[in-house]
Amino acid sequence: MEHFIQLLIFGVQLGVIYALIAMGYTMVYGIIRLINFAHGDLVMIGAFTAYFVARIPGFGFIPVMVAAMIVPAVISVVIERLAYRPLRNRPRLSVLITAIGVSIFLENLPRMIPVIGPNYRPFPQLIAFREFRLYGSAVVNTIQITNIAASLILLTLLIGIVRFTKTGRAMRAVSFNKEAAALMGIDVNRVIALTFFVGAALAGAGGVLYSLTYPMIDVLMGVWLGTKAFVAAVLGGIGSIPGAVLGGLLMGIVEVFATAFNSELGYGAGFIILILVLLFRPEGLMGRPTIEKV
Amino acid sequence: MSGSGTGVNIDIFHKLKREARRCSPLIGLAVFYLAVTYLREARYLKAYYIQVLMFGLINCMVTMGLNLINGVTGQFSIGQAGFVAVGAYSSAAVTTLLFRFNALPSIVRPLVFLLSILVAGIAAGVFGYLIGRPSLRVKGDYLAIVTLGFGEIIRAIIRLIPQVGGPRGFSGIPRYVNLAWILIFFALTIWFLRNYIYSAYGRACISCREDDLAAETMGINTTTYKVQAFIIGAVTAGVAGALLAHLLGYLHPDQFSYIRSTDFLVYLYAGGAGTISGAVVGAMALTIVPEMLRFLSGWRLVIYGLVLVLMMLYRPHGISNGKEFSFLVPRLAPKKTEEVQEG
Repeated sequence: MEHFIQLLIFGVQLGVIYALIAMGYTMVYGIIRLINFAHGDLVMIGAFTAYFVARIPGFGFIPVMVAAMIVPAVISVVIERLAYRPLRNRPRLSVLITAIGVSIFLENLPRMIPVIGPNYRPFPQLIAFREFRLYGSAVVNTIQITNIAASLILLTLLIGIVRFTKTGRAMRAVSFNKEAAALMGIDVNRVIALTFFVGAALAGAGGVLYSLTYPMIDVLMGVWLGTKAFVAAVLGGIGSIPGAVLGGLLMGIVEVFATAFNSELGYGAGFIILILVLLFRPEGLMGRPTIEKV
Repeated sequence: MSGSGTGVNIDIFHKLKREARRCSPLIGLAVFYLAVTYLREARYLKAYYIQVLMFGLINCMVTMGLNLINGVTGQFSIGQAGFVAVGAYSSAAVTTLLFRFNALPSIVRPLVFLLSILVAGIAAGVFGYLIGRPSLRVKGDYLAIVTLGFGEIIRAIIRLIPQVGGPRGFSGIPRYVNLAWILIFFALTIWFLRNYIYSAYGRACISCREDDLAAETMGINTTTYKVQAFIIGAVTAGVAGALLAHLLGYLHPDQFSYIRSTDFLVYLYAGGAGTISGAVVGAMALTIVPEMLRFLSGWRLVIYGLVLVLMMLYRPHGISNGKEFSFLVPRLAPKKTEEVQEG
């Protein structure tokens, strides 16, 4: 039981990070039907921004976090403007290949910049480490609490924006029908850029939180993190915001439990669940089934 | 009377021209092989270049298989490296674990190697079937994710099997493959895929790509063709994997990650999806060019990413621009000879 609770804490801690990153995938997919392969690399950019900003004296957790959210968000908007927007009316595959190209570019450019380089770097400890006894031998530490709290705040904020603000309504309108939204006077380009901005900001935050937990960062950290978060988004039903949260949590918990069972199994377990879900409920756990019209 | 005489002459002429066209890729490959061998003997070509060439040809084979699934049938698979892994590991298991390849007399070796390729093809085909089956239920992006997931699961399974080295990698595979082997299988792949795509089966596959629903209305069992495309694509990748295993002599599960799958995808779309020429040119160019740019070290991948983006922006149909090169894939004119005979 103690063991179970301990694993559950680890799982949730990882799951909320997946949820944060999955959100970006799901929002971008929801609005322009693109699997943004470069999204994982924005996580890495967030982590590296935090790494450098944290060196400035007097910068604590919150300023670091803000910086780590803004930098990838701005980069993401630039990418959207230069690489994705010109291709918007082309077959979706070409945008997808472009996204792969952007991802290769983002992974390899920092490797060649001398101050970043290809090596692993220790991530600074931004939060004082303390452990609290929870139940029996199960403990929870400050990093885990920060992770979960920060993620929940950001996710609530996001859901609030999408549900209750005018911008959020515009986002939903564009994702529902781009042409109709444009006719209603919504600036579609602006809304799409904004979606990229918000998604990348969450990815940056996810990068910082992940690096707090596993304090070694390198330029390729976004690849696997991104893939897993993407799987989480699909699991929950890509395009659905609550689905991304659910999928992220599920993915994190399953991964931790499977790893505890067998260290090699943890890796494939998420994918096995994913395929089972897709086979029996192709639209994901919370996605809406699409009806094919003739 | 004299008219019929010239008719026969034209007849023979057409026949010869047709045969020459048909055989031109084969003759071309033979000349290519002889030229490469000669240049190597004459020390103009370093062994390294030939190594790169062999990798290029193997990549071509995998990409051609992917082309059938993605380019021709219009399914979206991003797990091609998984099939390569299945082929590579199963063939290596046959030669290394089942038979002790190096202890065999040299006459038996080609037979055992062919057997291992057969096993690789069958194993990959079975996986292709398993992955192709769900494509009845899921479509588009979801199918892409299923294939990605399958590819990763294959890798996870390999990591769990200690006999093939698990996470440490599989070493001690006989390095038996040379350029001739690879060229033979390369030619076989082109020949088979060309004939498949230009047959009624191929047309049916194309109709699945163009419009699923319309194809079904025309009485085409889209399911059959999609699964068929997956199986053939997987077998091609599996055979290429078998060659790769016996070229490298060492396998590691991480060689077949989803990053590798995206490589094949990039080869295909950079070359031009939907055409065999596109697959071949894309895979060849993108294998050789990064090797040539090796002096740029890490920058070459930066450039690679950039070129890919620019390519999609300004030349969306790839290098081949959606056309087949007739020296690779001969376009055969309809049989004029028979018409002449009937007339």
